[in-house]
Amino acid sequence: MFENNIIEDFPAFFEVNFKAINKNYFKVISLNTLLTLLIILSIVTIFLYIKNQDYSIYFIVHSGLIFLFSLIQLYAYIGFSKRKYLIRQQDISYKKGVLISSTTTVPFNRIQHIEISEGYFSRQFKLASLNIYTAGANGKDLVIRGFSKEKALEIKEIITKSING
Amino acid sequence: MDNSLDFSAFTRQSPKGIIVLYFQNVFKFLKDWWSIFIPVFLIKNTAEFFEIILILLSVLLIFILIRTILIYLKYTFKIENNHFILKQGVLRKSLTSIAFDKIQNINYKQNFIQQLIGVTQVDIETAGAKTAEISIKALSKEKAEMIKLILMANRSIDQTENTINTDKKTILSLSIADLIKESLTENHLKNLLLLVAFIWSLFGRNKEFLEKIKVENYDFFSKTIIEVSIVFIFVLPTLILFSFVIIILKHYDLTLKFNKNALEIKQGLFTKKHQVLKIEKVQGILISTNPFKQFLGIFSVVLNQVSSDNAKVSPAKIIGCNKQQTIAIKNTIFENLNFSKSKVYKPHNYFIFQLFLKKFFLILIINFFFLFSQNSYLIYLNLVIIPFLMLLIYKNFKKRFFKFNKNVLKVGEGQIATSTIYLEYFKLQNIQLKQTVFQKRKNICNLIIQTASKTIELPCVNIYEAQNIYNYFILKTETSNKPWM
Repeated sequence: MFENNIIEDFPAFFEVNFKAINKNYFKVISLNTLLTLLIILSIVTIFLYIKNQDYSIYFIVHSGLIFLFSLIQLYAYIGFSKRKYLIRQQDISYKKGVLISSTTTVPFNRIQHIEISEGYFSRQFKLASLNIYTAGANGKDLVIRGFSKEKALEIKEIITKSING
Repeated sequence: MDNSLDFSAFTRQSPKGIIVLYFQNVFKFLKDWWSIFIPVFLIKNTAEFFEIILILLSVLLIFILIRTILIYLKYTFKIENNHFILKQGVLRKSLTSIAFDKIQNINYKQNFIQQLIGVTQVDIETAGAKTAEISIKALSKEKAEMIKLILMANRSIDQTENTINTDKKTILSLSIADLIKESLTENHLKNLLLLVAFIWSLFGRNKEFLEKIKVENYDFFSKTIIEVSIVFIFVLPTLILFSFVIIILKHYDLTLKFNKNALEIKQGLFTKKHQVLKIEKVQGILISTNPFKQFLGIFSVVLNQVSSDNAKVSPAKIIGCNKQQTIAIKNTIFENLNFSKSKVYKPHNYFIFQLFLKKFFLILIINFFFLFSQNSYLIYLNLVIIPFLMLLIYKNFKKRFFKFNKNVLKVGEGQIATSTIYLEYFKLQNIQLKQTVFQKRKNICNLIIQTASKTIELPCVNIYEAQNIYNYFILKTETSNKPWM
């Protein structure tokens, strides 16, 4: 019964062009993957060294790990293009995911507080994440990574203004 | 207003509170530190044993008494500028201030000792993430009433006094017979587990007892069917008695009253609980029943409240309602519950497959354990388990539906039990649409609706319908001026 009148109010929300996040954030993802790979590789190497394994084992294990991480990186690459956000007058939305895709919307008038956080790599590229908290029961609130620092501050400003005014 | 009922200056609790606090502290100490007495029990000499026990106990009891008195003296509170202000702490001092409009609920409680000496415990529940729940252990009855009046007034005392004095409509009051009916139809399997857990926590640490149990268990499983059924005949009445005792303790003399904008729930035998729930703070309700209860026409209603980070606010559960009473409760909370013109949505058939997959893994895991257990007969349990799980899938799919009207979402779910959830759109906190690649091919998705008390998932909804629902939820939330808490 209500299906008809909704479409008028929200002209094809799901077809609206969501914006992509900052391209530089992919570098951060790549660096994170690389760092994790290096840590795991060194742990494995030490382990194999203690166990006095043959060089062929080193080769198999290491190439296997590198292959696995290449796959992870490929998945992250495909996933990166799916990370998109949309800010409207009253709410903020975020889309992501390859195998499991999701769209989340948080109305501004339900936001409890907003945090801006930066990791080490993100700071090198002047990037920041936006953490948005609501009173949701599961605490599964919205985290959008990969904004430029100014953009994040700007969005925070927009939302804060909207809440208080 | 009586001078003694004035809260503008810092006030202490009732002096009788020392007794309540003392018992609580002693009890808490014994619960946390009982293990320090173990070495004493190793002393063989009886006279020496009693001597040491006596000295140890008296030192401890005096220490706790001094501590209790200090805590009592330092625990003061006042009401100022629409804030409840609490000062507490002997060594580590703290000052808590709670704005009236952040107060979620005020509950009275009386445990056995509190009833005996005639004081009331007042719990102030807040929804804010940063302020913890406040529990004043001992207030005189008048003071407790007064505090509630002031705090629930939301800036105006007169208004509340009016509300309290105007006629309260009693929606429900339960007799012993109702409670017996309720306990007969409980989920006794769940109580069995509770009972086992209780016995376990009592004796679990004792190794000898554990060994005994193990031997008995072994015997128990190897008994013939006749013997097992005899045991069953004894176990079932025990379980019924057990749930009867629990229900009497928790829900004795349950009454539910309604006035202007709040529901009042009173219940309990030794620990009397008195909850006042503002209607606007209710995030959604859940009405549930099981096959036995349905046969007798009994339902229970859960009023979901905001849960805060620090203290999980327990949802208010009202048991033993009949059909008319559930309708009365529903109507006090929601304005528009007319679903006669609404379309009934069912999940896509793919949902059955998803359920099937989950149960399949469960069966795999169970059989994995059977395989590695010594008893090869266990495999035959599959003959019971598999049909049962299939029945659950069938019931789960059959009972699941969603309906929408202008203001309220109605969701049906359940397997053996049946529950119906009602939720007003504007109570939404955030909303998510989730789709796996497999769902994408079928043009369906899951809709996850998060409120401040509960997350509701509508599985395998048609994508276009889901998008409409999604938009409608956002629209309603963004255009609503009503407070969501």
